[in-house]
Amino acid sequence: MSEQEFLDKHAALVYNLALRLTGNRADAEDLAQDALLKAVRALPGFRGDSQSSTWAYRITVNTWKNRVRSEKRRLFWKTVSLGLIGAGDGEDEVRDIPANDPPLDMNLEKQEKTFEVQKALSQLEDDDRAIVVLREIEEKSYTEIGDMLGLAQGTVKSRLFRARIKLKTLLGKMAATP
Amino acid sequence: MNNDPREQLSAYLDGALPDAQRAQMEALLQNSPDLRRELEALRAVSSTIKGLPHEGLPQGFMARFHARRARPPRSEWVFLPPMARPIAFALSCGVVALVVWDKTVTTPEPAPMHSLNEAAVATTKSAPVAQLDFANRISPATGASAAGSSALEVSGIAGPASEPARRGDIAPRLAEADTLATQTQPERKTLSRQARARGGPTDGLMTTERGLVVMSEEARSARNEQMFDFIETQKKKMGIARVVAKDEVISGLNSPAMAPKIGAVAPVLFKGVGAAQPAERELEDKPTATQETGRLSSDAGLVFSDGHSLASSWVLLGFPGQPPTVDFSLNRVVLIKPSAARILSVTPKPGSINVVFRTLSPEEAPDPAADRAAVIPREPRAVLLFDASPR
Repeated sequence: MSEQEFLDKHAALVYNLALRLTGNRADAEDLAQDALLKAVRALPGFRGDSQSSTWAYRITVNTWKNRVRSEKRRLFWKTVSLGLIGAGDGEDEVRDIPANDPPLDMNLEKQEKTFEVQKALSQLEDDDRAIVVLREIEEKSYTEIGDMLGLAQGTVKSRLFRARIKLKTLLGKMAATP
Repeated sequence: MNNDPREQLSAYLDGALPDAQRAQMEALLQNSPDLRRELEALRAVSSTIKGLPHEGLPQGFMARFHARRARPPRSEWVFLPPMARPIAFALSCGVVALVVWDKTVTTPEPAPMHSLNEAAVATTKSAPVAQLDFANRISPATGASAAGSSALEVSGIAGPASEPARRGDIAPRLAEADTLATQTQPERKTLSRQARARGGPTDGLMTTERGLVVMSEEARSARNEQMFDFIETQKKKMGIARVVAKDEVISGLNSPAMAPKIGAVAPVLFKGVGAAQPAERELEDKPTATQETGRLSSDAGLVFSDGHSLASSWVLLGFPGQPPTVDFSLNRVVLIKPSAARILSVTPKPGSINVVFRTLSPEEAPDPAADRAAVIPREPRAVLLFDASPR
């Protein structure tokens, strides 16, 4: 597969996955470009053991996880230096929060719904969010998800269940809020 | 395997259960309305997430991607140039070695005194025992008086072949040193003479039979007197009348009550070459006086070139009122002490001011033969003289 064929086939998929993982367009584009660059550079070594889409997804998810880790470290030290650790309500102070971009869709009602769902997604643990996105949006099997994230199939199943229960709670709260 | 039916429900929703478990779950669902409601809730969540819109690539995405790809890859690491890498590696190894050495090698404690004494006792059963410490001082441990101990100092151990002293052969020397320590003064003088006769050091040091070099009491006394004289000379030069102990409290120092009573002192200005010369005092040459060119002896007065020193000494010497404001770029100030000396004459000369003074001593009668003269050069700055000496 040539570079151009790879980009034509997977660039939009990678961008959409990045959009759901990051929750905003700016970060999504940055992440997608990073992932595509890595993929294109590694393409000559791609042996075709898995589907190219799965391979591209794996690179995207790994790139995103690395970014989240480094961002958490950065935020941690920033927070420590400001003496803000422990100033919150006991919850984890360090988390990636989606930027206040305009909602993703033009239809106002749909925009609001999309925004709320994305907000709920953003409150999941990183791995849980990746599992939900890969399962619900990208329709990957438990085995594929496990391969991409380096998790056992049973772990994927249980974490997906927990993530769904949490999403149900979060979306229920959002629906109840006027 | 987790047997929570709800977790199995999530997998059932995804069609991820094996056939047997799927059949079991369907049976459960038929009999449990709660489980069916839970399934519908999970299905609703799944549909909501699935309903998130699928977006196409933003406009210009691929152009930006290709532009980014054309840039050299961004490295988060700063690599040293190849030439510097060996140096950096060597430095790193050095630091690691230092840390390891610091953690593993401990500085040995100095050998305790008693261990050396024990060695000496073990080898010199018949001889008296002396102590030798690492500061090269010998003092008798037993059988010697305090006076004897203070009479001896070892200035070094020089064996016949300058070989380093070992514990085994140090014992006879210790015994000899102890013998010296217990001698009376005439006996030590005899030993000292004998040492000199053997060609030992002549500056008060004695070389004993065993090569031990010791300082005689006379030499030590002479050295102490020399040091005392030196300190006294320095004190005199610095105008120090008495050395105050560190913890001695002197109340009222620098206070007006402590200052000598001096009346108003009018300054006498001595300008440069060719300037008008005041003639308050009769010029008088003292050919026998010692002349100190370039500075006024501290016995008589002090020369100042800055306001801070002047201000502090002005009070200390007991001059009345506030110190004068002087432009030190143009002038120097000379303060003639009120009691240390009596000025006999101040003679303006073309290039200098000659001050002849007699040092005053409360114990001794003034000695005209000891009069001294100070020559204060007029250049490069004029001299402003404040004379508080007794008339």
